[in-house]
Amino acid sequence: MNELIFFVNKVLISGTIIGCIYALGAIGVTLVFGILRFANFSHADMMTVGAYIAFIFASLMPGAGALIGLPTGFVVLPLAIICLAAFAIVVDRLFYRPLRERKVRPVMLLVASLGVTLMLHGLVRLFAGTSPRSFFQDEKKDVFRFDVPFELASRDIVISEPQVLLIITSIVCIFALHWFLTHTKLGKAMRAMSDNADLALVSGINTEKIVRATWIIAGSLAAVAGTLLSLDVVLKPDLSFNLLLPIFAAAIVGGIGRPYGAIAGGLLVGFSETLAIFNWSILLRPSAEFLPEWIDIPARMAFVPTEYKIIVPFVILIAVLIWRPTGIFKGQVL
Amino acid sequence: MLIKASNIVAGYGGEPVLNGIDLSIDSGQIGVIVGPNGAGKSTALKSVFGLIQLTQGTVSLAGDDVTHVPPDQRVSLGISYVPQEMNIFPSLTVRENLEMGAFIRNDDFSSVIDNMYDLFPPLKQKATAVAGQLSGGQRQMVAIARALMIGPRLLLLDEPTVGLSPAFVYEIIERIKAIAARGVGVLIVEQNARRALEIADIGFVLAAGKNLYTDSGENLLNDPEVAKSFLGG
Amino acid sequence: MNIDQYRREILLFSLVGLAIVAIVAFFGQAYTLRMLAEAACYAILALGLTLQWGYAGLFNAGGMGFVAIGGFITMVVAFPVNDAFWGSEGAKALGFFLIEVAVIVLAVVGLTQIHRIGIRGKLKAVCVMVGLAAAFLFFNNELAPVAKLIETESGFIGGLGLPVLLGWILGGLAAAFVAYWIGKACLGLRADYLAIATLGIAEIIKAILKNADWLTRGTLTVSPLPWPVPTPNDIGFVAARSAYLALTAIMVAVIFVLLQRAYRAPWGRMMRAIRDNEVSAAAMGKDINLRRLQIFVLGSGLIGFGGAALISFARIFDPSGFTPLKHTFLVWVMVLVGGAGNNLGAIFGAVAVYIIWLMGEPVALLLFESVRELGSLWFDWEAPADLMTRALQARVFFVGLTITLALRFVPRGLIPERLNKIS
Repeated sequence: MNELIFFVNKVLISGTIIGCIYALGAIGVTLVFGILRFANFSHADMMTVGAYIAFIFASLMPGAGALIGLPTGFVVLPLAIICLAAFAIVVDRLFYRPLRERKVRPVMLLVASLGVTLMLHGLVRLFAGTSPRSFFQDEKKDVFRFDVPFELASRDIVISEPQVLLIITSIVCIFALHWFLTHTKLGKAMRAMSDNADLALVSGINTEKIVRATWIIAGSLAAVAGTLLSLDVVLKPDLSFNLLLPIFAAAIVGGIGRPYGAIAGGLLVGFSETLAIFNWSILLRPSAEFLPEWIDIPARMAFVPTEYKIIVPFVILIAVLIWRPTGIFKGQVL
Repeated sequence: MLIKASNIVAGYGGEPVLNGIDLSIDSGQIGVIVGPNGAGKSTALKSVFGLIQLTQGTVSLAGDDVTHVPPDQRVSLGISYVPQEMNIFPSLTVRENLEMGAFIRNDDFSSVIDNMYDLFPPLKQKATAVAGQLSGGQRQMVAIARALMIGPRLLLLDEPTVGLSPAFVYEIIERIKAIAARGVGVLIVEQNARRALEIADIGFVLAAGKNLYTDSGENLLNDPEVAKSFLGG
Repeated sequence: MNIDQYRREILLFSLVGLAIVAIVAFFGQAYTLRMLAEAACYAILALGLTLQWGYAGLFNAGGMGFVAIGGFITMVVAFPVNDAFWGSEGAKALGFFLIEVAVIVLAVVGLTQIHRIGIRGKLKAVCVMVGLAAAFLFFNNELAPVAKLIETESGFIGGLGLPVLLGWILGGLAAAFVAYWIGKACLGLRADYLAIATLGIAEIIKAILKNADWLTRGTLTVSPLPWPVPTPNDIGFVAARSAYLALTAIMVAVIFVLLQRAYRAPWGRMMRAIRDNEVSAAAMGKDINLRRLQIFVLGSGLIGFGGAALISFARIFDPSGFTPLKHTFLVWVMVLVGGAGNNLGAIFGAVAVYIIWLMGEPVALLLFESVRELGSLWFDWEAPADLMTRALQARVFFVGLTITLALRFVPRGLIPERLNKIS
């Protein structure tokens, strides 16, 4: 029974958490990919920047969280969202729009996004240093323990407050996005442009307005994901490349230009990662007494050692590219 | 004249595809562009909509020069264009496709949508269906209805009946006649010259980027020269 | 090609020459030779990348991975034999393990053929998946104790003690081999997918090299790597580095000449046709992907080869020292600034950018030192203790800025591709 609870803690909860982060990131990537037609390499660094913006706000107003009984980093999230959305638009104006206006091939925008990602990298390190920081320097991180009402289970199911907030916020974001995409003119136009950009232009849809909306959404979700991730673990400047690959994998698995696909893809990649690094021998151990003596269960039986976690999204990515480049939700073939 | 394109020279960089063509129709008229493959029919239509840069010539809409107006602004002036392929938003519902056609409208256009449902009854039943899953004929209806949502003065259709079953071809042609009867000028590019000229008020026969004949549809159909060269005898 | 362009090239190269003279004056011969030898290695990387990006429009964001492969293979091939390993239990265990792996591979290959005995469709797919998973689990769990045994007994397996140049060539071939499989999966798709996949494989290669202590000593690093020419210990810095520079410069020249010839040949024209107008080139049929694969494999091989030379020069194999910044994006800057699709531009970019990159270090330190001074003088600002490390990190910012500015203001580079129209 304890083994099962261990599984819940290590796989179900962790997988959901990391899956939500990937999903939020992948939505931004997939929207930008679908509408601006390039893989935005700077997205993970946008998440990092968002987290640092939240951190600055949190240290400017310590105790803001205590008033409502939530972590300060979470309370200042709306401010970080606004800042990062504005920041995303500024970056677009400075680095992407001039190229778009020159009608360059979309892959040039990809090169530009590499430049942007390096700049963000440098800025974060310059102003914040490389050492990790915690949102919970002066606050206590609440942890909820759920007693499992079985006799054999002595362990608790453990989930921390940031993790609960992360799951709730992700669900809220996803529903808000769904409503926006299906019930507002701008949202529908975004889907339309992602579907068929030429026809959108021919229909008189103001494409620059759509592009702006895309950056606002991508930036906002990046701020949410970055902040909540660093609330759950720590705030460090080198999230980027380790996060980028799973996010791209999630977006491609879900199908480019398909926000719902990105959510499914995010969860799929998140769970695959946690399942792959999970030590399966723990689950097998209770069966030891029923097995003949000559079979002994190795102490560690994981598909991938934790250090090699990055292999998992890569394998998923390659598998999808080979067998179904449009992703499970039939995205665009670009 | 509702639309008047004179002496247009245009292409895609390199050799021009159009070498000085003239097209003009009036409100309520159906103009048909026919000609052999590579004559520049689709290019002519695109140049009227402003999708390609003209190296020479002018386009005017109801007397106003629109030669340098970009395509998205021509939509606001009342020109709608239906491309030959990829002319719907496949993952949007039929109704959403129509709403996107009305993107530039800020008024309540639900009556216009009802109007489209009257014009193309199958779309009413399929209103909430995803457009990409409709049959070819129904997609073409969505495409045309989308273009009509702004209440255009001029409708440009690039091969609206290509690849459709005969029943749908009849259906679409009937609808085009109905649209013109409402006072909209319609300019069509057609592969099937004979059928198109039957409904044409004016026919433009193009070859190698030039006007070869311009006359009423009936006269062109009865012209033995045209019949021999372009209508298969 | 006109006089203006010639003048421009002469001017640019003279500027680089002047910079080199100035550096000799300020920093001395040994330092300058080191810089130039490294720049020559970078020139090979830049030639490989410009082949992929400039000629064929292929986006390789994984330079670091191919550099690391080149460096690793060279280390294995050329590092002296570790006798402690070959005589140990670990060697036997490793041999046994390799036999096991061979058996597993055969079993999996057999499993993919089970349609012959009537197991088809979904059932076959499930069988193969389960088989692969089991094989993978087995592989992992068998490798762990062997690796541990080798690490405790003899540190790591050591090298083979073969000539360094052989190591460079094998390193290039190994990089090409990896590129082949990546290319096979991604080249039918848009450039973006290749970029993502190469980025991923680079991180994976680094992770493996960093953690497989039994193979690479991981964070303990392996040094000193042998040189193909006499080392500074034998003949002093200036002479040794001159020899190394001469060797790498000859290689750059040979590669340059070969690439120029290929560029002018029908093969090069076809590549440009594919890059510039995929749609019309698609009329040539399936060939496109094969051509792209050739270019991608060749370019990655060059990057692996240049990487091997670069790592050998440093004399230390340190898996943590491979960074996307230094081994991927710096090369990108070289190609973009120099002029994509122009081999001369790539070489110019490599030398010029590398000089700026190295000089950026003292300049950044100076700048930040004065910022700290002024800050404390005027505003009582207490600078963070790690300001100087931050100053070096800040160079990333300028690499990124250069990329975006180059794209915007000199989209064709300082020495642009020569478009001699052949039509």
